[in-house]
Amino acid sequence: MISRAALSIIGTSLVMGYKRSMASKAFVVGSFITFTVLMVVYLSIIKMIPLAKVEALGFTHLQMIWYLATAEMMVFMGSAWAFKDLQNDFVNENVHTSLIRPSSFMLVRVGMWVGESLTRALFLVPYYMILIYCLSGGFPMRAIDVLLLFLSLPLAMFMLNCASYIIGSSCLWLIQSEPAYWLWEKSVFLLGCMLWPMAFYPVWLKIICWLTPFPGILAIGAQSALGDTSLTRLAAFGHQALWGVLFFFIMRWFDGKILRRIQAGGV
Amino acid sequence: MIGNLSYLWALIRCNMRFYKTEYWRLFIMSSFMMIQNFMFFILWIILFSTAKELKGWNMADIARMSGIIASAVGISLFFFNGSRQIAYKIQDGSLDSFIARPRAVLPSLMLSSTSSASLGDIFYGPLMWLFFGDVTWAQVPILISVTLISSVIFSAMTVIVFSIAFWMKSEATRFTEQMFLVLIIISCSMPHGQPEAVQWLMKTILPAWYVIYLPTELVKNFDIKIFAGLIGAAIIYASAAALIFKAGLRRYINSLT
Repeated sequence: MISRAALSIIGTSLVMGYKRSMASKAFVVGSFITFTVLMVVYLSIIKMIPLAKVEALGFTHLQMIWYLATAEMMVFMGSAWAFKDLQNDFVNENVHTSLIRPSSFMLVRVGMWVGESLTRALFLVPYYMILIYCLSGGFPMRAIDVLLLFLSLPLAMFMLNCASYIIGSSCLWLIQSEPAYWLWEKSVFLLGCMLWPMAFYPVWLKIICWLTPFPGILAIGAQSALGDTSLTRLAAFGHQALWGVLFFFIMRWFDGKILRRIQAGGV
Repeated sequence: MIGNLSYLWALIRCNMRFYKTEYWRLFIMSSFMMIQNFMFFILWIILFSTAKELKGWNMADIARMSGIIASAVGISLFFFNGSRQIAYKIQDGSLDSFIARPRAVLPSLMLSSTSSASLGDIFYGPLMWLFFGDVTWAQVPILISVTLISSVIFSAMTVIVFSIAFWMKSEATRFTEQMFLVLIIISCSMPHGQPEAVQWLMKTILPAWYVIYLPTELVKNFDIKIFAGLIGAAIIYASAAALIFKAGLRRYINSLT
């Protein structure tokens, strides 16, 4: 059971994340520029795919553009540099000052990152909606699709940030966390179906995708743009919720390992 | 002139000596870089298994393009990773130590660091050409030449992007890293078939046209005039990088006094 103290720590960390995001205005501008360039370039690539091929898979160019934009928006909401921040804390031994506090280091970190992600969403979501509407000239989602997208976003952000915590602290065992992060990031892109919907994938790769948490991070939210049937959606949300819970327990278990490692031999 | 060249050579040797004791890190980082590059390439394989051809480009063209850009970025960051640290060095003041040296600031700054993972990028290119690019032996000298030219343009753009930090008051490191990401994104996409406004951007401030499109087309159909134009573009971008860095450095020095 989550105690009142833990809830208070999570709340404070979320606020800290909010303040940190609000303080980095140039970063927000940079995110807008990067997102715009990425979308303009890939939108043209999507339009190059013959319409007959896209329709054969059951959707339109417009839906594919919104799919890609939604997946990218979720990637941009995540904290790609978070693992590096944590790694730096271990390398510089700043982690000791955090550990002597009477609050969970893990809760503070992840809470702060989730706070940052949610704050970025406040800027990014309206921008993504307006930009993609202007670029594509249409909006294929129904109200229920938008609602389901927003329901899946927090869980996806939670999983991304849990992974950042695990990857960032893996530097205690590995020389550097970067290789682990690269593999994680590209797995999110590939198995999370970031660029093209899962319908493009061969059957064997679809099965691999569903055996991993990656569709829960990108594809399930992004598929709101494709207008899936409710039964598929229900299964997808079940998959996402299951992996969300698993991620929490894996992170807690890993946190214990981190503490024991630091207590036994330092950073 | 010879003194300067021997100094730069000494810096390169110094960077390479670092790996004598760090060969394990070099191996791990470069191997994982190759794996992650290939994982991204699978996304293109998935698309082309459905689409077969996009505006005249097929899987082999994409493989050649991916190889060229990976090797070009790899060469740039393996040898000149210091240019990626301009913003950090401005922020923490360590740029001052370069100004105090009796040598040109930009070359010593560019050669001040090396990125071990980039060796993976360098080797990833030839593997792409070999396994997916349908490259003949006659095309190999062209591929190597255009990759080297592409690398010069990319290095120049890296200097320009990170020199933005000279004109920023705060948050320069993260912002310049984001702009570097924009450069990478645009350099890894297909420039042809884009709207005219985007193509104009790709021919000017984000030179993907010269970094990937013309090199890939030259491998397909070699044209000496286009090749000469590519060399000209490399000279122009390198000069622009030197000028912008110089202007930024002047501003930085003035702020110190």
